[in-house]
Amino acid sequence: MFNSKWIVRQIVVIGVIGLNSYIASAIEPQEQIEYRKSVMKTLDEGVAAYRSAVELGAPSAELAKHLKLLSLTSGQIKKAFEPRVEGGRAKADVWKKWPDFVKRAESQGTRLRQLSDSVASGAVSTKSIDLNAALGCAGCHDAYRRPQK
Amino acid sequence: MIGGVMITKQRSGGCMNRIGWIGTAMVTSMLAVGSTAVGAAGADPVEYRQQIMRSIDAQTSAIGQILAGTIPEDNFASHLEVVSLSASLAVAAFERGVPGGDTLPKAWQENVKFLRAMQEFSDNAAKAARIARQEGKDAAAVAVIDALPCRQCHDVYRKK
Repeated sequence: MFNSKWIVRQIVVIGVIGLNSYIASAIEPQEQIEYRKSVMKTLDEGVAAYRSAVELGAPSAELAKHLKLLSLTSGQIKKAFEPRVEGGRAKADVWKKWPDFVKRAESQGTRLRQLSDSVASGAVSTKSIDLNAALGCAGCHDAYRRPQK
Repeated sequence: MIGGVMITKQRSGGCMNRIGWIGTAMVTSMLAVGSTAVGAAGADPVEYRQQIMRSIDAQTSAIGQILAGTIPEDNFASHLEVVSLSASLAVAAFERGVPGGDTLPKAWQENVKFLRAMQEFSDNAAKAARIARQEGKDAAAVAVIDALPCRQCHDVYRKK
């Protein structure tokens, strides 16, 4: 009734299904999406806070901390997006063009860290900072983020 | 309640017995709303501290997910560093002494004590970040609980 070939095939099928189930359960999509939203929200709020601090005339030491915070948060992007979990506002291109995405995120982190260091040391006046250029948000969002519904 | 820290789950449909979303209450309560105080160039000092506290909120949510084991721990120390930095920025924001939002008058009446608690929060988060960086998530877990004493502050200084 059951030959050995059939049994082996069933074992392989069950094994593959089991493995897929295990992989799927290891990464909970909604958790991953919420996680990266938290990272991006921190960046949004961090940028807003930096701008408020500038307007409120905060000292450069305080502004340097804001920039460091942005730099650290930017550094979280790579790991937050690394698991290929499509959803939220992220386009599939994030993973299709992963090296470019990572390069942009890492460049942003580097620019912000350098800016933070420069402000902290007094080498750069906060008035001369072009935060939009340092962040480069639009370039990345245009390529990798869906428009808001 | 773990070690004096209320641990909550914010998202709908989640199980309450899983550690997650630490510090939701800690942050949201201090968010000030509707202040009339406006800075010289138009920025609102209350909105400023809201922005900082929302950053903490987002990062503590991420920390909660990592502690719950649903997200890998790669960014764990970084999240704690951001919380520490944000808390130190919150000290500066609250030092501006502009009442408003959900902050109770007691925060201004006991300003030294309040700011000291906020600074301790920052210091403890930095300490937890160091442990996480050197010894990993599990070693830092206890320090994280010490670092995020949400209710201790909220029960006293935040409107219900």
